Amino acid sequence: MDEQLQKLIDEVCRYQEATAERQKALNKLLIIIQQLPGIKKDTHQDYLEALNKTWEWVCRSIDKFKASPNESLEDSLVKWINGYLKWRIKDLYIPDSKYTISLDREIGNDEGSKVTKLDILPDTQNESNSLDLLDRKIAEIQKCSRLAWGQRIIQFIESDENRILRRCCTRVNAECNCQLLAKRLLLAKPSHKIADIAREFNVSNQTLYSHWKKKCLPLLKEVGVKTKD
Amino acid sequence: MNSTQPNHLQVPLGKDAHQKAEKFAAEQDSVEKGKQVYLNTLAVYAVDNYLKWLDVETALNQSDSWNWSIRNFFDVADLMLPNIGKIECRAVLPGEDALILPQEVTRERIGYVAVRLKSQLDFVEILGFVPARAIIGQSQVIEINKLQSLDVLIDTINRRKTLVNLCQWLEGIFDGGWQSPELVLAGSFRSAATITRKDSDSQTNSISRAKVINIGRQIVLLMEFTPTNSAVFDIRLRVYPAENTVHLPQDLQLTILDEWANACMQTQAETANDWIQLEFSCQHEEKFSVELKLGEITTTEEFVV
Repeated sequence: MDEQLQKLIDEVCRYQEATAERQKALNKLLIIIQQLPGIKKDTHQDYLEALNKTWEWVCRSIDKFKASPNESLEDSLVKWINGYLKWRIKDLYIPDSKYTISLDREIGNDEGSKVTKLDILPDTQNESNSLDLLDRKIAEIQKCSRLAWGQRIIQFIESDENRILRRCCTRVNAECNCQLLAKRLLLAKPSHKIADIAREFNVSNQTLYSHWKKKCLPLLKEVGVKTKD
Repeated sequence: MNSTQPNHLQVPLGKDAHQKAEKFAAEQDSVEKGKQVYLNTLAVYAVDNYLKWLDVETALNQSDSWNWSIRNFFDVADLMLPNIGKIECRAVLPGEDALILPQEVTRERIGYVAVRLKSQLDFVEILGFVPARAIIGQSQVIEINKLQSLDVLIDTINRRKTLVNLCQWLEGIFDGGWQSPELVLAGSFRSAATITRKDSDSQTNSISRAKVINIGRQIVLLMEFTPTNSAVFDIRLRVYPAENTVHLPQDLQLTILDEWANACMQTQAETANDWIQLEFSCQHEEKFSVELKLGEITTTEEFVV
């Protein structure tokens, strides 16, 4: 193994960065070192991200790697990689430490025995991120997204900060505008009848109906698309 | 380690990958479309990271898969490599042994990378690559065991990086082994004078350069590049035998491919041909490649006008 590793490392270092030869050699080297049994594993939710950063660093820094004479090249290399990986995982604990609780911290339970936070948590990473459960997860996030979008639209209609909706009114009555109609016809539960609104504002049924259909609905649709992101 | 086992490179799918995929999937109207977008996003993310490891520049923001209005309507998993082209990153689920290319991704791609997802969606394996020209006009199903190695992807990227800029020739800048025909053909059986002799209708402002190419046999590729009064450039390509031979090897194939690897023109040497040639016109900034094929060996030269 050491001989194979040394050969591949030499090959990578022989070529300049961003050359096809170096890239091909890196490919071969990565396949081997990714499978070395000693590479650190961690249950932290950001471990995979840290590992990703680590492989990028290995590719950039392999030229600086110096094997220790007292151990095998493989052990030396694994130690070198783990040294970086360990710090990346630590980094990930720090930036949002307000929200991240160390899963390895021991906490007491009612029986007085010591367990770590990880022991009592459901395995969320694996549960939500698996192919089998992907349909359910997507249905859930789409539902949340639609709810959030719906909320944004309701808020938009109610505040109408730029008066876009209020400016869209019938010629005969300025009060009878898109904001009012949207509130009465879309947001109110149960929704009002067009005929009742027409009577209230003294506008003909037909005028109100065509204003709603031809002016208000296209405007609301446009607003809807804009609020989506 | 079991060296007989086919090993693939692995890319970890961190929380950042899943967050992106969730965001894109949430925008979709159905679970089915959401799932397609989710998996496409993971595949593109993985290849993007892999290429970053290799120091290849990528531009997610110039990719259709990262564009809200395009991914909503099309099944796309493309990744833009600036000045190189787009590669399509197709997800392969556990147990699947082929990747199926939707109609919308069979154009404007330089090739296809197959990405195997693990059932826990924590890692992907980069399985291999197929250059677009290998599947053009053929079935839109690529079997996993027909995939080529990632070395082919690396070669494709680097070849396109070193594409020859013909407009620089007008400024007297030549690189990539393109030399004056007289020099290249100095030791040739054929005298350079006959080769570069201008036809009566040929323009005086044309530039000729030649390059020796090895495809098992040495041949000389001669390129004559002529600006015209309009925005169009005339190009004449000729292939001559080198090494003091009189005839071109039989069955030598010369093909012009457009930017998206569609074959546009082709010619083939027959018995005792002294040379073969293709003539065509290009717009400013148009890209094309010249493919020479003899038996099993193929070489490609990339150009931009």
